[in-house]
Amino acid sequence: MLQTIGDTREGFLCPQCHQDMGNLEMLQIHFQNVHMKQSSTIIKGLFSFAKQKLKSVQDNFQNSNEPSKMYSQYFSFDPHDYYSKKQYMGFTRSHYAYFQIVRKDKLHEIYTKTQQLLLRLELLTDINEHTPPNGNTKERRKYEQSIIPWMEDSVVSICSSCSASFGFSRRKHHCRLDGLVICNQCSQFILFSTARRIIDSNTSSTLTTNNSSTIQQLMNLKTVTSSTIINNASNEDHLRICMSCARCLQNCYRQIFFKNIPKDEIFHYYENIIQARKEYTQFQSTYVAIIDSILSGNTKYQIKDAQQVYRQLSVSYEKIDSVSKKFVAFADKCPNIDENDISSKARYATLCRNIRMYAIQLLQNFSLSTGRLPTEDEIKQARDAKQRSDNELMAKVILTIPGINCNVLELSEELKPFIQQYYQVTQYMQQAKLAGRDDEAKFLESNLEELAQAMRVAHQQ
Amino acid sequence: MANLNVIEAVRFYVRRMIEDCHDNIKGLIMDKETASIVSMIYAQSELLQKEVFLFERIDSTGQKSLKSLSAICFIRPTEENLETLVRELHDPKYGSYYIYFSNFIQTNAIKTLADADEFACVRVIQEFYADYLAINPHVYSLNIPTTYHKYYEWNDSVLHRTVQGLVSLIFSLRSRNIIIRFQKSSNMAQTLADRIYSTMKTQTDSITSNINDTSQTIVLIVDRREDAITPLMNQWTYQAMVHELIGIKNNRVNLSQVPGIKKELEEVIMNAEHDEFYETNLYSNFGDIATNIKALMEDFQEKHKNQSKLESISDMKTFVETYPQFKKLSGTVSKHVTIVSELSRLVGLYNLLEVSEIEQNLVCQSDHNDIVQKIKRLMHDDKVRNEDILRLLCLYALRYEHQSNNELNALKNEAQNRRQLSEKNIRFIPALLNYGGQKFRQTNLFNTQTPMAITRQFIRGLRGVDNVYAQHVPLIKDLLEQLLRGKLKDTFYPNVSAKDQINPNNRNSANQLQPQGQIIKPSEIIVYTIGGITYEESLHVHMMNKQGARIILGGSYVHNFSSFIDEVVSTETFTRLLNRERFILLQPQCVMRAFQICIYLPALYDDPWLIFKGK
Repeated sequence: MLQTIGDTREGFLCPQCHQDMGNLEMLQIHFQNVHMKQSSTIIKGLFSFAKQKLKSVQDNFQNSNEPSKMYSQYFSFDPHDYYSKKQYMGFTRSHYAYFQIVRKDKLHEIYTKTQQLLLRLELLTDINEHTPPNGNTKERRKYEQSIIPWMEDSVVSICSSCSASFGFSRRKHHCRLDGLVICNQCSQFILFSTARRIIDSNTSSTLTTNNSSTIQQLMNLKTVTSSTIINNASNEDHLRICMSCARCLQNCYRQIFFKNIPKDEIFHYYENIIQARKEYTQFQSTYVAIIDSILSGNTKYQIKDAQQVYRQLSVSYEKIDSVSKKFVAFADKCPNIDENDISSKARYATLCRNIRMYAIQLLQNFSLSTGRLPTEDEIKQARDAKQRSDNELMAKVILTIPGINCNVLELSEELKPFIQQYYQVTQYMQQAKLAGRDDEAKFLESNLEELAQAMRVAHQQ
Repeated sequence: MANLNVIEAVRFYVRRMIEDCHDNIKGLIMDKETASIVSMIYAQSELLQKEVFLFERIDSTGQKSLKSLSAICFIRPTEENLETLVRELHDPKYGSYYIYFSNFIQTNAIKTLADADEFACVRVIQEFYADYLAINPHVYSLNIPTTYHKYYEWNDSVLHRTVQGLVSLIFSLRSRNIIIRFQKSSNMAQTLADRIYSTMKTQTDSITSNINDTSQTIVLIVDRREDAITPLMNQWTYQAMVHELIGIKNNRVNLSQVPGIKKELEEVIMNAEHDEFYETNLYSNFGDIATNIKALMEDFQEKHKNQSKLESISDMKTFVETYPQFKKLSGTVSKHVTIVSELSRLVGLYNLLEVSEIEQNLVCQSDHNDIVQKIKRLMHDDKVRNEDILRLLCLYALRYEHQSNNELNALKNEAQNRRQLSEKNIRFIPALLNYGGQKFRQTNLFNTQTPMAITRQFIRGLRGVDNVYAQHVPLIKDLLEQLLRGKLKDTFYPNVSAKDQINPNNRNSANQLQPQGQIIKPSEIIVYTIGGITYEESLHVHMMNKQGARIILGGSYVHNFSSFIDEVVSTETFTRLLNRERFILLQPQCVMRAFQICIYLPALYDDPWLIFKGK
């Protein structure tokens, strides 16, 4: 059928005699006159013949029910090619390498700038006998200028931050960290204590007990600088700095903040679940092995072994259940979240509920895949069945041993291990023969004869 | 033989995203579009199993930091999303970010992101080309309800989205050598073909490596305007019928309009990937589905030794309702019983069998007078909906557009007298003629004159019609047949690469271009329909694929009659609006707003001009 498609002609062809009739009416008339005038039985035959002839044409229009693959010929796809049967993941493209290069440069730039500022900040806020106190304006100014030279007042006419020109009402000030000239409006102030805290928590990379309190204090701040001089009770010293230095310090502060966000409670709990899940899967494989062994009638494990593992399983199971129940409570309470922050609360609640759902699914899967403990009766049945099949096997083996002929039940206890041994050696021999290791097979055969000899001796005694 | 599968292609990507993130608790951040892309192929419970515990929209992430959570961001590379992402990286709420873009991303966008990543949280930046909705294994959609812009031209953003979607589809199926053929009569098809060609040329080398791969993919770009009749027809296969009578949106079916519906069934998910009954009956005829459901129920009934016989679909419904345990066991069956009984209710209520038979005859037979009489008779039938009368009028208008004894006006008047057709419905007929009338079409849609069609009719005469409700065969099937047999004319469906043969870089593809009539054996065919596809077309392509074809069908949208009306009417409104020269004096924003009002409130404002007149 497929081959004939190429020959199919289009047009007003008579399906019977392939004559091109030009148009539909002519074709119908032709068909009725020429082919329909014959007797009805012939017409029937003719129709089926016509249908057959038309089949290739019909396939253009109607879908036959049989699963023919008439279209596969039009595709270069080879149905017999095993590898092309599988669909692979589509193309991908990674931009991470380029991303990393750009990010590295950027981070390096930020790092150098921050370190520079922090170094100056450290010197400026360091209070010892060599540094003049803030009260002594002249000495203090000299000291400040020794760390970073100030820009000459005379060369600057506009504020470096807001570009407004200085005058009577807009006086010139200096940023203590980079010496630029700024106006009062563009000034930020940082308290010495805040500055010390930033420096301390930045230099100590590891979290020690004494600086965790420093960080805790730092975390309570919203911003490290303020736009006005704070006159608090202690009348603390402060530094005037420009906007860009303030931003840099603020960033540094945020980095410290980000590093020290405490892990939310739920993540610890979730780790417990993961731990319990791991334990469960471990115990489960042991348990299944034990149950299988017991139910096939072996005496390697006792029922109490199974019970013991089962108890461990239930401990893990209970643990997952109880821990995940806590998540429901978390979902309702939403601890550590601002009362008014509804979207965060909703998100937190969803997260907790989803984890609980996951745990429930996990437990369901576990209970489905773990069979219950077998009862005493079942174990007894299994052992009896094993005994019977062992005996049957024994009887069969005995028949094959030359020189020994007796009933299984009459068999003395000493002979049983021999017979088992004999059976095993027969099995090995067959394997060796199948694998074509003739030497081994011969050796085993001689072994068998020796065994049979020994048994005969034992039997006669 | 395993066919290519778009659902599998998207699944591969999503699975890889989740598996590449080894942390315990994961959050999936998506935008509006990628959220529907993912929801088409994965149920939330499946993702939970993979320890994805949080699903968020990129535009509405919470405030509180969840540092121990890893975020898998799967987003489209739009300006908005990039901005949001930059803001997010400046102030990260998650501990680490695994970023996957669903399409190409510019180098400077990566630079911006890298500059923003001061906390060094980003672990992965990749392009995963899952930028389309996978509906069935062989059907995809870009979910663009209205494609056509003024004078049936592209709107830049829609064109951009379409190119992205189509190229992502090509890459997700690992195709690199493509031949693009497009419908010559459509400017939009030509523009799209050119854009895809140039995009593929610039992107292919940087993405793919296997140069020896010689398999060819044919991309066929057609315009819905060439075949405006398929979306007008009533459907009788399960999926198509549900979409036509109830409506499927992103695999969701809204049943809240069904009388006496249970609360939990108001919105159901119809996903063949998770629903065996649906999967096997997707393409079944309406009659067969009822039988299949009945068989399923009887099987269950036997188990419960219940002797009451199930005779009708309403019997089945009561049966399901009286067996809560049964409902528990097979939620899917109760869902399907509800849907099928609703479908059969609607079929009876609106006399759809008769309507559909006339529709089919109107399209496939050629007895003009008989059809006119039948339409007139249906107008007097109170059971028949206005909507179905409109379908018939539209089909009639398209079929006998230039016939001398055209009785369209008479029919329209009669329809107007008998029934109060809405403004929108009346406007639809001329809009439709403008959309897909003979003026635009390059082939004869009704195929009554071609030899192939005559032979088809002749065979029908011999065998009798198998199914009066499935006589119509969509144009796309014929086009694909011709394409496969090498008979698709280059004059009507030219090849994109043909015109820059001079370009030496292109020598390769030029050589592969074979003279007309000779068959290029492709490894697969991808069809894109500007203006949307229908489930009837999906059915026919499915049938071809079952017989060994490897065709993937898709378009801007999956239309049913009502969404098709919306698209045609809104395009027409906009075109008409711009035709009025006086509007050029107005602010563009005003015009846009008027246009929007017309689309959203068509009942109130038929003509945007009236808004300015102060009506």
